[in-house]
Amino acid sequence: MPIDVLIAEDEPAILDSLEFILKRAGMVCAAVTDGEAVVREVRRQRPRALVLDVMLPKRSGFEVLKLLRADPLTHDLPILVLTARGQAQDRRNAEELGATAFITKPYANAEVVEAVRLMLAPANKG
Amino acid sequence: MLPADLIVFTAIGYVGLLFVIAFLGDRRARLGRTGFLRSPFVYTLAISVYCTSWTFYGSVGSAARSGLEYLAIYMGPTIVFIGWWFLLRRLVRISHEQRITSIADLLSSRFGKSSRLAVLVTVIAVIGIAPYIALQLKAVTSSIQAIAGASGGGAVSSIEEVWLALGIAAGMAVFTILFGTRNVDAKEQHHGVVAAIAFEAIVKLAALVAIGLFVIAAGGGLEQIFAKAEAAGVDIYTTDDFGSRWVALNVLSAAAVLCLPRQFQITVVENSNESHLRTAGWAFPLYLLLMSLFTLPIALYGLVALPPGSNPDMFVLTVPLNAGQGGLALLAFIGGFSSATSMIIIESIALSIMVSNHIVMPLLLRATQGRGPARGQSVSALLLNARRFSILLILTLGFLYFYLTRNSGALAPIGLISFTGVAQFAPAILAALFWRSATLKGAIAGVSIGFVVWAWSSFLPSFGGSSPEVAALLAEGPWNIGWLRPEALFGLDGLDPLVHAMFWSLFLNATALVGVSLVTSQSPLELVQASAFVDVFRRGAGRSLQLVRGGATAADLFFVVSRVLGTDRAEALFQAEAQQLGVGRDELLPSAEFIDRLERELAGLIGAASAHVMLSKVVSGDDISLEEMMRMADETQQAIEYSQQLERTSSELRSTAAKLEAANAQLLALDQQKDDFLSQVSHEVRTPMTAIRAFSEILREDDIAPNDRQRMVETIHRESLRLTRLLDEILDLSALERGERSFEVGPIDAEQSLDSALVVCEALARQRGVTLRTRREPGRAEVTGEANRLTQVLINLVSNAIKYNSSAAPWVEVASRVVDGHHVIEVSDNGPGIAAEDAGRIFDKFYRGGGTGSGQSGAGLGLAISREIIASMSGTLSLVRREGGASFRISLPVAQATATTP
Amino acid sequence: MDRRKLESAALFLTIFGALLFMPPLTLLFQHEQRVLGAPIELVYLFAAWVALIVAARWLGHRLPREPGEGEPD
Repeated sequence: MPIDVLIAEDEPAILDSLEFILKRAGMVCAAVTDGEAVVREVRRQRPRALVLDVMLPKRSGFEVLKLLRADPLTHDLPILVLTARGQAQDRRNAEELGATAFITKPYANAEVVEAVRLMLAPANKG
Repeated sequence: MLPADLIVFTAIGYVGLLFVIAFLGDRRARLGRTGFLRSPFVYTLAISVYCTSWTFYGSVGSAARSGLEYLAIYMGPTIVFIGWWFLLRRLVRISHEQRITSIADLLSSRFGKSSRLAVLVTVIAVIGIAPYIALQLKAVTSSIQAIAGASGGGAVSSIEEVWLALGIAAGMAVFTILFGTRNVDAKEQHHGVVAAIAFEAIVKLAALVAIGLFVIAAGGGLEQIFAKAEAAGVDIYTTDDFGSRWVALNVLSAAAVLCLPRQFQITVVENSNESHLRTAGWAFPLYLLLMSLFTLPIALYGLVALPPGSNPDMFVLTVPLNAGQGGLALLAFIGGFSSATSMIIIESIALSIMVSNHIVMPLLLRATQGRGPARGQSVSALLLNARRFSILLILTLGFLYFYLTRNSGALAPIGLISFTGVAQFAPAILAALFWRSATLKGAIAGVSIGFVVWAWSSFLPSFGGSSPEVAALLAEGPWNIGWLRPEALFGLDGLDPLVHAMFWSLFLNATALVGVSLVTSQSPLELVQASAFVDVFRRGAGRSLQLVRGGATAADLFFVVSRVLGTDRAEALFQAEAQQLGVGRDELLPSAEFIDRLERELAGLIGAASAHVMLSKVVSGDDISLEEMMRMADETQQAIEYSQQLERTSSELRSTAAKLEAANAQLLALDQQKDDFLSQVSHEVRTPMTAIRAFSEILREDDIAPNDRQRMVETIHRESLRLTRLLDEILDLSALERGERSFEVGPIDAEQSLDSALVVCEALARQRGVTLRTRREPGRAEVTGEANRLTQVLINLVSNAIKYNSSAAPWVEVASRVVDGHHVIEVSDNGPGIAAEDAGRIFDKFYRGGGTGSGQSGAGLGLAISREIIASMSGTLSLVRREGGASFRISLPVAQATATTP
Repeated sequence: MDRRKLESAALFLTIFGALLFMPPLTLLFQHEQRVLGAPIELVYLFAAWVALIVAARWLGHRLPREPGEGEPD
């Protein structure tokens, strides 16, 4: 089955909650827990959107973002960046590196679901 | 014969000439025609202020009394200048970048802009230089007396020595005040004075060479002089030339040529161009060589030609007088007078800058509660008055020293007391330039101890000739404590007093500097400054590399430049550049030349240093982010506007803005540290909060399957426990840090705590596939502590070792034994070890090795708490090995050791 | 010579220069003999001094120029 959303999150509890709310919103999800796996799985499974935590082991979310944007294959992939550091600095970093959306933890579930839905929307039309 | 009164008028006339030179020099500098003033040879000649009347008169005296020893005073500086590439170049570059104004400023700046250190260095310099000033007064007094004695008449010869010296001191004070404190320059450069000093350097060299040539001619050639001296019974092959005293003099003079306030002033502060060092590196040694070329011939000729008992310190003067050469004697007098005046002028200018900047101004600001001077008074007028007062103080101290030690003999030993005194700055300076981890506390400890030992073993004994109390102290020690005798500390008897004082003062100084630095840590500002000093050349190289690559985007540059210059001006510059390159405004790629031009434009408003800092931050994109850059730029803009409201002159405006900018940069560095800490706490709190919030939102809905519901409630519970634990840890740590102990200590069995910890950790080790080994020597040891807390610490260490062990065949070893009344537990692993740069900070709060710390479950508080807990049990927790796997050691004093059971 | 070699030469000159003026090298010349009319130890020290000055003069303007040093004269 083709994947809608790949979730990259190393905190098991948060990953659990994200999978739950996105699946309930009717999306097909897969999960990875470190930065190297994200790059590998995005290329292998070709998800339609990516939910990306910043503080990941092995490769930080920002490095992953940079890599994906540099690769023509994943250049257009919609990416939602999540961070618990909540600084203006992180938001600007994410925007400069080409994040599609940015949400600070903790968040309202509806906020995340809505952001992912929006990211998937243009593709639905096409 | 030479009438003595003529001498006085000659001296006054000579001083007048110096005034004219200084005046013309300053005028040229003001008109911007600094051509010859800024030549490397004027710079080199000015450095020759090193040669004072000690060189001019004293060296001949020293050569007559103790052979080649006088040469050592020039060998040390020769080596320092030959090696300019390694030391002086670094010193000059740092001082230009940091706008250093004195040696006190240098040390204070490196050690976190500490005012305590600046005051300490200033006080030591003022006291340490007093003998040196006294030496000049004594030399000039003796020279006038020698001439008066020879001519046997005139008003001068009837004046008593003390009054003559007082008159000279007063004259010098007036002269220096008129000379050196006419204006205050932000860079503390005095072009006119430097020109006059360079002129004096030529005069003293010419005079000494003239006397030398006269002696060679009168003595019938070099060979004859040595032969006659040998025939007259002078030992021309002094046998003990190259002993410990020779080495000590070399070391001291090398240190002095860096640390003497006047040398620092001329070599570093007055340096207008770093490349002048390329010339001074060989030309100053050459000057020294020429100055000492004729010393020994003059001394030997004097010993033979003059009646026995003549003062050899005055041979330079009495040799021509004795031969009836009045003109030559007058030239010799002027040469000696030149050496003394140039030393006194530069030394008191340098010291007065230190006294006024580091002592008077801070006191004044404190007295006015930081509001600065009252209305109607300008800062520069106040500074000038403070300088004048300092000059008076310095010359008064010099005169007092002269007065109290007037019975003592030769010139050279007096100078060596000062050399040893200022040499106490040398360890701190070397550490400042080359040792990143030197701390403020270390520097203060080293300099203070060095100073105290110097004062006791070198300064105090110099009063021995005039004070019976001091003489008794020298013989018996204070309260008859023999090992405290100033010239035989710790019973080190029979050493030359100079070698003795130098050894103990510098040895204890350096030991304290290193020892205290190793056990204390640096404040954030010290860290910033340490890197600015130690990496001074590395930073430069990095920047140019970035420039070549064109590392900055036009947009980034425009942001910064427009903040300072205004949008219109910035836009005009960028348009012009784009036009010149024939590209569109938006396609502009900034070239190195363009960035340089922008930097110069900025420098016109906020000063070169600040402009450089601002641009290099964008260009290389290193530690400070663009956001912070914009804040910096904004504040600079505000500073400029504020200054304009004050209707200051443009030069004052420039320096104010630059100072504000510098202060702001420091605040940003501090802010960054605080931000990092808060951002860590924020991250640690937000992570469990996220899960709790997400699941509680889900649970508010009704249609959740019972087993999902059960799982979520458990997760919420677990995450809230994690949150509580984090808050507990923070509170626990801050209580421990305040010295409060929330637990009772009593006798416990440390091995039992270790048992409990191992039980917990074995499960974790199995789960992670790590081999957990123990190597426990049989026996029991009771320590004073709290069993659960000790277990907590051990679990923390062992589980860390397990969790972070990335080795292919990971193992963790726990060893325990009793050594020297301490129960020692070591936890070692074969993991990645601890990086050198982390080793000093792993016990800091929230410090997690390896940067981001992503994926690690702890909050980075464990080691900080562990160390505090062990400390509260009177033990120590330390990192004993960091390469090839880490090893931590807990050492607790044994309360009651039970006999080892076989 | 390239930059590294020049810097090494400068370091060597400094250390070597310091050794020239120190015992035990100086002790080699501490005996009762005269060269050019002067005691040999004196002649040795001045000769070493001159050699250092000449070497430093040669090296001084060949050592690399760093950015920020200022214009040469």
